[in-house]
Amino acid sequence: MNIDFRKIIKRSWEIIKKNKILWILGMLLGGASVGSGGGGSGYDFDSSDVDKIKNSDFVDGDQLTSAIDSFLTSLSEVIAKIPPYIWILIIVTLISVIILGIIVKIYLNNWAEGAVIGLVNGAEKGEEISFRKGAIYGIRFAKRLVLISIVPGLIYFLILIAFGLLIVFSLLFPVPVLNIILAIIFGFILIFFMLIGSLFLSLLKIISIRIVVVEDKDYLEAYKEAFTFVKKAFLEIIIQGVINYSFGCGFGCLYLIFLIVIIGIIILGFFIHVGLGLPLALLGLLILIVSGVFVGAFNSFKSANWTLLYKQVREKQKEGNNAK
Amino acid sequence: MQSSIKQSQYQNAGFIVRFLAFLVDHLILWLPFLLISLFITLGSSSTSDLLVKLGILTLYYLIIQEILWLFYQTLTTSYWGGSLGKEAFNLTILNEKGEKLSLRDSLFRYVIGYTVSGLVFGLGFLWIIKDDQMRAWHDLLIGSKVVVKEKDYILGVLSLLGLVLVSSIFIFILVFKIVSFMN
Repeated sequence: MNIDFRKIIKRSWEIIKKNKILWILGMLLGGASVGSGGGGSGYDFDSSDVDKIKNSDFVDGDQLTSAIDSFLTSLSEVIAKIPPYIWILIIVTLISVIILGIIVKIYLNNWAEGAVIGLVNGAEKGEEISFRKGAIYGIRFAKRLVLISIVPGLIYFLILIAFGLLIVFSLLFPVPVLNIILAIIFGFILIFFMLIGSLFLSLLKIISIRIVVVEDKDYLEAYKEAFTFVKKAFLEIIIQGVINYSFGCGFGCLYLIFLIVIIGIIILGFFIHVGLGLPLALLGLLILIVSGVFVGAFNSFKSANWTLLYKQVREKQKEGNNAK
Repeated sequence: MQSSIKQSQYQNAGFIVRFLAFLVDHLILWLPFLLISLFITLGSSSTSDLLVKLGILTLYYLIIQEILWLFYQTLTTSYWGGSLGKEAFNLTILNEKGEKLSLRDSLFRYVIGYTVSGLVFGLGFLWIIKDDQMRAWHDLLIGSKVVVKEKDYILGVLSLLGLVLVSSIFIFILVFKIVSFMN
């Protein structure tokens, strides 16, 4: 199949450059949110700090130690008095919130995936794209995309567990040398299956989600079609993967250098004067926010590359069928 | 409320009034937490007892506040056309057809829409200032619009002032009690 990869990259770049909405939605693809997260002051309060305070001029060391001791003792007494149901309530709530968060995250990722693929497909056809259109695509396909991202992965995981159990059982086999040989054989099969399986799973996912969005197909049907598609256009998909990976490495290296430079300037600023370091840190934070948007744009660019590859391969396949 | 309203008869709500309504909503959700904190403070026997109880309450509040916010906004928007804060400022949320949002749309607006709006340090919320129809990113996503039912913000402003006053009194009593314990 004669695929014009240059054309794919050029067109993806044009679409991404023109439609800034894809930059924002792309942030949800890679979870590159810059609006929240972080935490921790990056400073650990340890025993040496207590010593420093104790040895300082304005605090009597022994007095401070006894005050801390008495406070900690009464604190532990009070904590011990808290009824267990309060702890259970907190833990149950925390677990529920975490589970809910995971569900929302999975939905959000797949919704954004559907929105970006749908919008890129629309833009390729010359349609005007908007947040609303993206949302409609996302909502329409999210359920199917969630199934594609969960079900095959789950089956793969169960097969891996089964192989793992086979290795354990073969080690328990009563024949001394044979059990090790069996374990090694199953180990090799497991490693082979892990490598090939994970590669195929990711390729099948990439293609099947595009079949769902572009062709509006059911998830199972899309997965079956993706299997045939991957078999027929394996080389093209691998080349596109290598191109995306190379772009990723290039972008990642640039991003890393950029981060190192920013952090270096901030540290240097603090070394010169705190008054200089603080504004520089704020400026660095602002630049990081902007760079998060670029990460989003890059994620969308990669997704657009896959979508356009899928479309081009499909076109070539149709042309081939018509020629026959 | 009417099931279908022509949007053109209403003016779009601007950033400031929407932000004030947002503050009212936050204070409404914060008030029960403050009230419980106050009861705990008044019933505590020592500083450590008080700090531990307040710590647990704060932890619990931090865990559930997002969920509370989500339930509160989703339910009030789908049933009344807007949260209590928006109601106080005579604002309502309408969809493209001029109807109030369904439960599903409302849930989408607050879970997905607010996430998208908050992605770049809240740029999506500030979009209200830039957009010609004063829509945030979450409005653009779901096709909703926040409109002014009646340009009478007195109830809203009074609610905000009242809530700020009550919260301030609660906080003052809390701080006073904690300081007196420490002394």
